[in-house]
Amino acid sequence: MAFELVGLLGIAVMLLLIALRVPVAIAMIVVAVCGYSFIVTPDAALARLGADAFRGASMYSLSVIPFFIFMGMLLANAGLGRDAYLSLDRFLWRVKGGLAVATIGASTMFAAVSGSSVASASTMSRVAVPQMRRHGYDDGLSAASAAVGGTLGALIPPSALLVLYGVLTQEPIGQVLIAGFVPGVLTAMLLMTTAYLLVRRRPGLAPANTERPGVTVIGAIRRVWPVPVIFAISMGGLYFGFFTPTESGVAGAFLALMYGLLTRRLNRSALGASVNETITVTAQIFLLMIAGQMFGFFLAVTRIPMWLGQTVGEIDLTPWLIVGIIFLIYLALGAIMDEIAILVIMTPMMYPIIIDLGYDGVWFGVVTIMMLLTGLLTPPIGLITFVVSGLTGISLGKVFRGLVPFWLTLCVAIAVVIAFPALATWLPSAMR
Amino acid sequence: MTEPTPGYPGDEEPAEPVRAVTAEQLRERHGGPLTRALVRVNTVLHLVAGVVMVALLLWTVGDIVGRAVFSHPLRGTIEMTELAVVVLVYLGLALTEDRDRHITVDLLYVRLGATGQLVLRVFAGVVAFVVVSVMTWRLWQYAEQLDAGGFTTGILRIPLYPVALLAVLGSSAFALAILSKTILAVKALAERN
Amino acid sequence: ADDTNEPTTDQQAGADVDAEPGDEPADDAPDQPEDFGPEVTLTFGHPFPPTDPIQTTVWEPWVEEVRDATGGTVNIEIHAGGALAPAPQVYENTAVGAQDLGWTMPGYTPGRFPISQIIEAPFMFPDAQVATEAAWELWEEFPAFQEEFSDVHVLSMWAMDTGDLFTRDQPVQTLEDLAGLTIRSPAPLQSQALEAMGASAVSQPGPEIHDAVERGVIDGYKLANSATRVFDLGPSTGYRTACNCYTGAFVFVMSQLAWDSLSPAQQEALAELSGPDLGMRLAERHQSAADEVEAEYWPEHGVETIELPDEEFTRWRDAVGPVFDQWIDEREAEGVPGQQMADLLFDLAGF
Ligand code: NA
Ligand code: NA
Repeated sequence: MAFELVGLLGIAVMLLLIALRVPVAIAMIVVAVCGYSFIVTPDAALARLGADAFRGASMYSLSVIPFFIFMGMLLANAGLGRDAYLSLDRFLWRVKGGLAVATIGASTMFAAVSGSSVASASTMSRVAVPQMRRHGYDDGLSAASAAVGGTLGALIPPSALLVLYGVLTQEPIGQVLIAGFVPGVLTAMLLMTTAYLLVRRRPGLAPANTERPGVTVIGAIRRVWPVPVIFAISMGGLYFGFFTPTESGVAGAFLALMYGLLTRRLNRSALGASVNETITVTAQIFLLMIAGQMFGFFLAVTRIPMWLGQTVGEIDLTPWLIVGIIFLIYLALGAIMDEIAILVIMTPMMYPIIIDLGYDGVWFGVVTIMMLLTGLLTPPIGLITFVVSGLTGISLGKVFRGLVPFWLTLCVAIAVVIAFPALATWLPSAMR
Repeated sequence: MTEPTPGYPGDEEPAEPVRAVTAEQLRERHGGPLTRALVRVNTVLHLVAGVVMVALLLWTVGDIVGRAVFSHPLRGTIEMTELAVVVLVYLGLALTEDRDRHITVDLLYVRLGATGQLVLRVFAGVVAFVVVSVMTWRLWQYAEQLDAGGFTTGILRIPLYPVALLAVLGSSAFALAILSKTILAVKALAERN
Repeated sequence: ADDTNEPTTDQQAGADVDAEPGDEPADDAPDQPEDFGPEVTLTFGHPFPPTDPIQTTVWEPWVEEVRDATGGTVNIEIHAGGALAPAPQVYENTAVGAQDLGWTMPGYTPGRFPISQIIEAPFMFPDAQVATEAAWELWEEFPAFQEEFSDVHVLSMWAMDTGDLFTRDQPVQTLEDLAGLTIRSPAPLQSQALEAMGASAVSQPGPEIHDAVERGVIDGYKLANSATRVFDLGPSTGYRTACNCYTGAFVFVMSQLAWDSLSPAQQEALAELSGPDLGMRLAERHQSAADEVEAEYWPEHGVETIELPDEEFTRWRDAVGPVFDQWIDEREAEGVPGQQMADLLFDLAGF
C-alpha cells in the first residue's frame, strides 16, 4: 500500500475514534504508533514512543504555556474582567448602543491579557448582560456582545494558541505572538463598529441610556490600570527583546500574582483555584501537543505533507481559492472540534501547502487562529455560545442569531488580513 | 484559549436539556473506597505539579532579576525549565482525567442516551487505557535508557532519568485513572441491564 | 555501554521493514544485477535545514552515488529539518531503528558521548581537515571511543570548520568582555569552557540558535563559521571574535538492523562510499562553505570580525586548561585512557 494511503487511512481512523469520544490526543497517539508500525516496524514505533512522550513535553518553547494560562487565571479570579467592563462603560455610556460596544471592548481587553475566551465570556455574561437587559437591550445583541469579544483573546498576545502554532511549524514564537496584535485590535474595532452600526440601523435593539454609571473617571482608571500595565510589561518586554516568550509569560503571571496578593483581590482559595486550573489546562494542552508531535513524525513517513504541497502546487488554483478552501475546512472542523485539537491536527498538513505557495509562515499563523476563532461561535459546538446561553438564560438560538452579524464581521476581518498580509507581518518584522 | 466546560449548561429552546453522564456521577453512584483513594492520590500529584509550577515561576523571576540587575542569570535556567515542565505536565494528567477534562469531541456522546454514553465511555476507556499503559511502559524503558546512557542536562549535568521516572509515575496514575473510570462505566452498564 | 544496546534487542523485526518498500513496483532500475539482492528504501533523518549546503552538495549527490553503486537497489529518502526526530533524538532513534540513517552531533545529547567531546577540543585545530584526520586517528587507536557508538553502525565521522564566538550587540575583545554574557554552547565540554572563560552558557542544538538570539535568550553563540549561514544568523549577528573556539564533530550513523538487512554486496558498496573518505569529503565541503561565508555572507550582513591578538588568545587557552584536566580525570576515573587520548590529540593538533 502506498504510504500516502496509509496516512489517509490513519487520518480516517483517527477521526472515527475521536467521534467515538476517545480523547483527541489518545486517538492521535493510536494512529501515530500503529501507522509508524505499519510503515517502519512495530518495534521501531514502540521504541520511539517513550522518548517522544518525554521529549514532546521537554521543550523550552512550550514552557510559556503554563505561565500564560496562570496569568489568565489569576487575572480572571482577581475580577479584572468586571472592572474592565465597568470602566469602559463609564466612557461609552452616552453612545447609542454604548453598553454593547463597551462589552465588546472590555471582553476583548480582558481576554487579550487573560487569554481565556471562556472566562471572558462568562464574566461578561454575569456583569454586562444583566445590565444591558435592564436597559432594554435586545437579548440577541446582549448575548452576542458578551460572546464575541472573548474570542479575540486567542489572537491578541499572550495566546497559547499562537505559541502552539509556532511550536508546530518552528516559526519563531515571539514573532508569531506579536503578529497577532494588530489584526486582533483591528478586529476588535470592526466588531465594536458593527455593534454601533447595528444599533444605528435598528434603534429598537438598544434604547438610549440615560443613567450615568456610578463609577468616576478616576475610579475607572484605578480599577482597570493593571490590565494595560501588565500587558505592556509582558508583551512590551517580548517585543523589545528583553524577555523570551517564556519570560514574558513569567513576568505577566508574576505581576498578576503580586497585584492580586497586594490588593487582596486574591485570597488563598482563589490562588489555589488558579494554580489548580492552570495545571489542568496545561495537562490537557501538553497531552495534545505530545500527541501532535508523534502524529507529525508519522505524517512525515507517510509523505503526506510533501504530497499535499506538490499536489496543490500542480493543480494551479489561485492562492485566494486555496486559502478559501482551507478556511472552509477549518470552519467545518470548527463545527465539531475544539480549536486546539484542530490546530494540532491540521497545521502540519496545511503549513507546507502555504509555504509552497510562497506565503509567510508567521502570517499564516495569524490567519489560522482567526479561522479557528470563527468556529468558537458556530453551531453546533460553539463552546462560547453555550457558556453565554447557560449563564444568561438566553436561548442558544437567540445567541446564534445575534452572533450572525459579528460572525460576518470576523470573516471580513480575515479577508482583510489575507488581502493585506502586512497587517500581520509588519510589527514582528520590526522586532528586535 | 478555551477550556472545555464539564457538561454544557442547559438550553431552553431545543426543549430537552443535554444530559451527559459525568465522571463525578459515576464515582458517586458506583465508586468505592479504592476509587476515592485514587482520586486523593491524583489530587496530591496535581498539587505537587502546582508547587513545581510556582517554583519554576519564582526561579525564572530570579533569573530575570539576576540578569537585569546583577548581570548574572541563574545557571541552567533553560534546562531546569524544560525538566520542570515535564514534571508538572505528567503529574497533572491523572486528576485532569478524573475530572473528564482531557479534550474530547462530545458531538455524538451528548446525543446518545445514558446506555449509549456508557458504552462509548467503556470503548474509549479501553482504548485510552491500552494506549496510556503502553506509553507508560515505554517511558519506563526510556528512563532505563537515559540512566544507562548517562544522559544529563548540558550545564548543570542533572541526570535525566529521575525526571523520566516522575513522568512514569504521572503516566501510571493517568492509566489507573482511566481504568477506574472505565470500570465504573462497566458497573453502571451492568446495573442498567 | 552494553546497556545502550538494550533497545535494539526488541527490534528483531527490523530486517523486513526495509525490505517492505521493495515490494512496491521498482521504478528506475531496469537491469538490476541479481547479486545486490532485493531493493530497499532507507530513511535518513537529520535536524538541519533542507537548504543546508551539506544537504544539497553532499547528501543529495551521495544518495545518487549509493543508488548507482548498488545497481539501483538502495534508495535513500532524506527527511531534513527534524521531520523524523528533533535534534537530541536523532541518534537514539537511529539506534533503535526508528529511522535507518541519522546525521547529528554527539554534543546534542549531553552525558551520552563523553569521550567524543575531546575531538571538539577548544582552541586546538586550524581547520576541518586536520581535525577530521585527528578524529579518525583517535578512532583507530582507542577501542573505548568506538564503544561509545556500539549500538549503531558508524558510517562516518568528521569535524566541521572551526567554530568562533559570535555576538549580537557586544563585541568581545578580551576575556573580561565575556563576563555577564549568555552564550549558546553546542556541547558539554564547550559549556564548561565557556563558563571557565567567565560567560554564562546555555546548552542548545544548532537549529534553536536563530530564535534564541533573535529574542535575546542568548547574547551570542559559539558555532562553526559555515553554520552561521545554514541557520541564517547574519541579520542577528553583529560581531565575530575569531578565536578558533572549537571544531564541532558530526557523526553519520546507521541502524545496526538496517545495516544487517542489506546484502553483502550492498554493504560493500555502501562501505566504499562511507568511512574516512566520506568524512574528509564532508570536512572539505564544510571548509569551503566557511570560506564562502567569510568572503560573502558576513560582509553582506555587516558582521564585523575581531582578530584576537596572540597574547589574548593565550589567556583564553590558559583559562580552559582546567577543563581539559577535568575531562582527563573523569575519563581516567571511568577506566578510559583519557590522558593518552588527550596527549595524542594535542600531538596531532601540533599543540
Ligand atoms: Na491573549
Ligand atoms: Na464551533
